[in-house]
Amino acid sequence: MNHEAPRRHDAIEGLLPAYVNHTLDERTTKAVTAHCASCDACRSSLAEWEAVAGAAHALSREAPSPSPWVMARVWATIDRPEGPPPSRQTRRLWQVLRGQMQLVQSRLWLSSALIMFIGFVVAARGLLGGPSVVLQVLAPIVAAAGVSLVYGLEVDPGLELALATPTSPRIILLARLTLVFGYDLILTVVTTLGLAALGLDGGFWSLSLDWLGPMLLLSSLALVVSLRFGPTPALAAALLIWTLRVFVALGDRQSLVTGQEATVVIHVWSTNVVTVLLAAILAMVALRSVGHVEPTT
Amino acid sequence: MDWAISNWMIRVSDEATDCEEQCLHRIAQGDRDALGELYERYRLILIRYFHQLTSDHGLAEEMLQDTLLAVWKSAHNFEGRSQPRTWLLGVARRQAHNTLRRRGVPAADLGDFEAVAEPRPGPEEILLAGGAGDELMRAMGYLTPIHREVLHLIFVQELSYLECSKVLGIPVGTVRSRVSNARRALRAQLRAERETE
Ligand SMILES: [Zn+2]
Repeated sequence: MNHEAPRRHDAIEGLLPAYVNHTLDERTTKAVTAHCASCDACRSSLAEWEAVAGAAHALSREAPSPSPWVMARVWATIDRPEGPPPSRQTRRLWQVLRGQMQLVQSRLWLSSALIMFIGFVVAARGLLGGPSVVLQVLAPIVAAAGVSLVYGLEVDPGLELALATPTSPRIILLARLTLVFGYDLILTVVTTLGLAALGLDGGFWSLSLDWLGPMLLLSSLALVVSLRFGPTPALAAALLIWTLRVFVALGDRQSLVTGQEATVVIHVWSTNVVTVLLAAILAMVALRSVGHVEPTT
Repeated sequence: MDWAISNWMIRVSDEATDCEEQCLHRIAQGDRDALGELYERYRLILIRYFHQLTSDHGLAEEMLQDTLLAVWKSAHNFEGRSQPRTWLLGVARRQAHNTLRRRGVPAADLGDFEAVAEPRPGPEEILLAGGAGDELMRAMGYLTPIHREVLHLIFVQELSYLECSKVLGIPVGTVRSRVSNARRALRAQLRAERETE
């Protein structure tokens, strides 16, 4: 034995836990093994550590397994939307809608209502061909005019303000479309209900079918033109198309214009699958173009 | 022969480490399957660790959930400077302590209690290695969580002192003294139990 032995003993004893859990390098491990072979104190200390390790293992195995739904709960938490909860999102959508309602000029609300009221009075008196013709002529152009004016700085100084807020142009457009088109739709439905109640010219459904398809198609056309060229060209285009359509229809009725062309024009401007589909495609094209195309000034 | 075996073991453990590192990188990229794989690999390891800190299984599961959430959110912080397991246990420990704090578990059960619970040195001749495994395990159950935790990390998770110091956020020297204090506390606990019998 030499005088280094006690120091070596202390150092080795401090290493025993690491020796037990196999985290010593190879050389140190060999040194500990060699020392323990000749040191009773370290051997018994080692035995103690091994007993502690065994107890720690046994104790940890006592722990029950996690419930099978732990991971599902984790996913549920991860998938919970980070942003405002649904109720706040709804409130935000409502705020956008309300903001747009104030921005859309009140003239638009008033003039649409006024035109439809005049139309109702005229149709109720059986003038100008009665309810069916009056609704067919008025409803599409009123809605299309509203939609034409929905977007663009030319008619709405408030838009600039609205766009400065963190609301996407597409959301704003959707909000306005919902408001304006929805308003015109309700106006027309109310007028139709009123006329149907008078029982002059068919029931509610047959009257509705007279104007619904043309209204959707003309409005979506106006929307596309409005987003591409601005509100005024859109309004002009809608008026032009609709005047021609009315002329052809009246001509047909009074046998002024006959032949295949008239039949085709009338068929395109009525409520059928093709009209509705075409209107949907045009509306989608228009919505997609927002964000790519800046609103015209 | 010895050399060959230990070499093989090192290779196996390296492969496991590589696999876990890849797993964490995939989680960082938002790979859901990877989090599922990590969970399957670690669910028992983690729940056993959490049970050293609390005897409440519901609380331990809450810690487990919080840890998985934290891993999902912060896997991109894993830089490969420590073993994936060390990193994961570090995250687990932080989450466990957050959970306990949130649940109002008294800090005295958790805090650094080297000063609080320095067990008085007893007769060293009472050997823990007496063959009474159950008795020893029961005694370990009565240790403070901090002592149970360090024994668990060293002997069950088989962390080195350095890895353990990273997980616990304390110096290596403190780990060393905490381990030997834990053994002394265990001896004291056994002695107390034998005296009451
Ligand atoms: Zn020795």
